[in-house]
Amino acid sequence: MDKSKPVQQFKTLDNLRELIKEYEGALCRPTRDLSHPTLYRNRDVQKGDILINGVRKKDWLFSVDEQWVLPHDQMGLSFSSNWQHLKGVYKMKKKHNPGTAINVYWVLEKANIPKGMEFVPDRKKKGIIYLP
Amino acid sequence: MIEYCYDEERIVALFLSKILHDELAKNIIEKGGVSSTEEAVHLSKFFWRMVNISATEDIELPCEGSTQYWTEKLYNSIGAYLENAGYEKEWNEEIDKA
Repeated sequence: MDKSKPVQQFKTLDNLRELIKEYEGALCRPTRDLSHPTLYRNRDVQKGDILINGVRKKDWLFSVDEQWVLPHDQMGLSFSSNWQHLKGVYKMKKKHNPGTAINVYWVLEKANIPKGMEFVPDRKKKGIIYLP
Repeated sequence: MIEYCYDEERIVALFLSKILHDELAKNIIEKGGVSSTEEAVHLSKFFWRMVNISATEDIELPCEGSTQYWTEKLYNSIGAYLENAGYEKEWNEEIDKA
């Protein structure tokens, strides 16, 4: 283990749950161990899913020739922004990757995203944020 | 009414209700919503049954995309519907049990 990294040990799951609740509102993406938090490889998806340059085709609104992503504020990379939504997404990932650790990547303060892009809440469902 | 982001979500939910031999879930999806707390609980449980079969069986769908992909989308659509229809507690309890 890299000793330069801060390590905090939690005695119970409740300790950890309390800490996580402090970050309610942070943006999270559960990700299979050794996979990328925002890009997909073939091993990250099931047969039938189509990847375009590391993103899932149907997550975004692509032009007909699939060369451009068209603007849509309710499509794009999705994040969980509350504990309950994160819990469900985490459990789905866990079921699809038995025996593999699932890491949760957090955007706690600000993200270095390209100018003109912003995080947008889902209009219908609490706990979902898109990066269109 | 359950509002889907994609028409395929409804197609997949109906398709999986048949594979899972779940007549009540099929009826709920066909009529577009639940009429009681019992149906809300059933729909919530059905969602996780879809996830479980998606994770354990290779299912060929009648549309583009995988069962893993479409259950992720259904997680948001069914969850949003139940939350807005007053069944957030029932939905969240099944997440906790999953």
